[in-house]
Amino acid sequence: MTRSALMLLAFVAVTFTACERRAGGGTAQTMSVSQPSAQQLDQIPLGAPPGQPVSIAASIANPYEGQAQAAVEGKSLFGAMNCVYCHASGGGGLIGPPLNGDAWRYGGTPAEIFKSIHDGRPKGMPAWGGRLPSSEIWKLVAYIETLDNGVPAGPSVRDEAPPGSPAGPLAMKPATVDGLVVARKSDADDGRP
Amino acid sequence: MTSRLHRPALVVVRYCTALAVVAALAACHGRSDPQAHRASAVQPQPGSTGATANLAPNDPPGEWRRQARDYANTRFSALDQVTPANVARLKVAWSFSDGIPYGHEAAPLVVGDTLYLVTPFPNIAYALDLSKPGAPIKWKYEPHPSPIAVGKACCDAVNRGPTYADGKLVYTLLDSEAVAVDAETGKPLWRTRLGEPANGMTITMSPLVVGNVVLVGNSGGEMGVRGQLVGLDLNSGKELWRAYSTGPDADVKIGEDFRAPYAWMRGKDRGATTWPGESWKQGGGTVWGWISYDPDLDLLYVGTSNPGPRVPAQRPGDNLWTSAVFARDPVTGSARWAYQFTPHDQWDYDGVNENILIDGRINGATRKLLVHLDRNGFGYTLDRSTGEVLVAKPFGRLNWARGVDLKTGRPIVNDDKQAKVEKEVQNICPTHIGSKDWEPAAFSPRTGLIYAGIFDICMDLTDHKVSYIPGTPYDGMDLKTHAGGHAGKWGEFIAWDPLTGKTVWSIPEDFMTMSGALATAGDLVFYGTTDGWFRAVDARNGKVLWSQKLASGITSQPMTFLGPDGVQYVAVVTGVGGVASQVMGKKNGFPPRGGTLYVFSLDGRSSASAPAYLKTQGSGAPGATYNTPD
Repeated sequence: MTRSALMLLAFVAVTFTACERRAGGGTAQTMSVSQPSAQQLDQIPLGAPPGQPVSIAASIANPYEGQAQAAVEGKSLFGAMNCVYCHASGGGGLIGPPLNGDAWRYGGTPAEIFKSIHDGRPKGMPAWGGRLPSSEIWKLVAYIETLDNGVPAGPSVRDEAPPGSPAGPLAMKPATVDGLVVARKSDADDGRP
Repeated sequence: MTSRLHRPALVVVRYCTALAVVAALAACHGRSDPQAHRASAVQPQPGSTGATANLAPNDPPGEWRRQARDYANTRFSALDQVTPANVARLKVAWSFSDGIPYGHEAAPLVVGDTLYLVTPFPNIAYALDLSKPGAPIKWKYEPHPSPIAVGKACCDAVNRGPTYADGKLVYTLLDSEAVAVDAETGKPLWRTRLGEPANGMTITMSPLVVGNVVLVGNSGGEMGVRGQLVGLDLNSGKELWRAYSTGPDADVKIGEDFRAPYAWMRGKDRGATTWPGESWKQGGGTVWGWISYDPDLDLLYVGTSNPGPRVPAQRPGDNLWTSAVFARDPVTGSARWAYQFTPHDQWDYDGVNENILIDGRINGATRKLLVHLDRNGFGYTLDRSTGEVLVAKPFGRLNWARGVDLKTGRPIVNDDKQAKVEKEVQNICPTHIGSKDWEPAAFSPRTGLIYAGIFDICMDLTDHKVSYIPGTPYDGMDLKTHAGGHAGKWGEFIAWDPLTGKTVWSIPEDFMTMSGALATAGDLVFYGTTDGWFRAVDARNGKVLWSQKLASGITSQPMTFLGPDGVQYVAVVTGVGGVASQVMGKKNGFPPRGGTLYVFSLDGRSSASAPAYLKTQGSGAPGATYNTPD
């Protein structure tokens, strides 16, 4: 195991501890759940053929469905695993594609999003299976699901701002959840084939 | 040597059929006595600063063989058919679309009767035959780089163009490879892998060839990639040497003959000891900008990017040799001197911008100079023999420093603008991409001025600590950008006096000006705007003499060449993208993407336009498309 992988594991451990601490060990903590099997997930094709009914993916629910705390922990992971620097705050997209709209390259059902994170995708999305436990990937999915039709991308561009003045009305503050600040860079322009 | 200026008169006759051979030579002007033509074209004119440049390797004036045209990186052409008096007659002669939506940042090349283009990812090379109506495709090379690189490149899947040397077209692929193809046939000659895109390394820069050495850098500083410059053998593609930007002296190729110009950069292994622990291994300092070369001193000059992570709190120390410039021996790669523009960079001020090599009088003595308009907002003029800073004055709005101490060579940092973890620092100028990014300036030996597209953008910055995860951003900067001034102008095009460090004239632009500049012996300067205006300016006074709106925004580099018909053409590629789209994509009036080469001439004259039925003639041998499997 490489040194960086060890550092990563150590960091992940710290992150989980922090999540649990924030959850206070009370009712807000995520409950242990039964996850979809690997065999089920293997049956999900990479995109449905045109005109075909939605694949088996639609019938697989996020095991954390209905647990708000899972999305909060997913958001924490979204920052800690550096997802935010590619997909931007609110999932608006930057280096990577947006996660907050209706357009999905590889499908937008919870199980398809899980597969994209777990397996990685050809245009640079790393495979997190083996780096993160499946339970944590499902929490990331839970967070991403909250972005659907939700937080718009930007805009952060202001036409005029006298030096020292606060941000104009169009400038968004970084999104916060339980005091956790998620970074946001300039707005994305996906425009990619 | 494929100079069309030295070819037999018979070829010229083809374009001047109505005339006798002798008369034809005289009529097809620009083709006769190029040496005399060039000598008069490059002299300082009245009103000049007196600065001059060595235009080696003195390619034929009608050609453009590397992105900067010459080793000194002047982007100056001795062609003078287009002048302030007739430039308003420029019209589109022909155009060529490559159908690729990523940002277009390269200039085409012209060698002999062939124009060469390299597209953004997937980095297709085209050779267009200028000797035939409609400039048909002579050959096409599709290298099929790995698509994983698209999602690793910080700032769009761009490419900054090919270089030509010894019958080969040499360029880089986004997935961290360099290739050479036969310029006549498009047949691939060699292909060399320089890094692993899965770990975040990409390559967008244009190589420079010096002798038989191909110089190739890398990108990926935002992913914790360690900067490197590699020398490859031009004939085989085999690695000759590799010099890193960070780490122990042996890795950086710092030896006995290295002399740092200032005391704070001296000592053993400063590329490692100015970092906590072994963090220099993920310390950035990538080499993604321009390389220049002085044949007299036999030194190459190249800048390094910002340090990684972008959060300074995680890397106390000067973080050598990031945000710096190196002078190196091109044959061995060994460093002779280095100078760090922004010690312990806190704002993403890469030092990769072009280094233009000129000669001029400063403090009463004529010196060999290096002019560098840095992202950090200071315009530097260094002694290129030693790295000593002679001039360092702001060319754009800046407040992160109060100046550069010429005794120590260090910037005087403004405490109020230092980055802070989990605390917003407002209105830091310039923003992360600087007062000027990679878009290269031009130099005219006739005016002695530097011409550059620049930005006026500031940021509100909050830092967050980050962990290093290979293949993901090692970033931590959370920033909001805004125009620096009250007028809402995000860009400017300026003329800069490199001997005094003063702006001579300036043209305001609504959008950040992210196009390279072209200077010609016709005393014209060309540049484009992010919203798609291509402009010609009087080099002497900054008067805009011609503007033409094109299909997409211009974030590439204009160039000029002489066609086989003896006509001067001016060319530029549109296709907005890159950082410009990331920073300004949501502003009203920002154009859509789309890559198109536009070629202009006086009255649109060319063999591709006439009041008659014209058609493209076939060109290239059957099977002249080369595909390399994935």
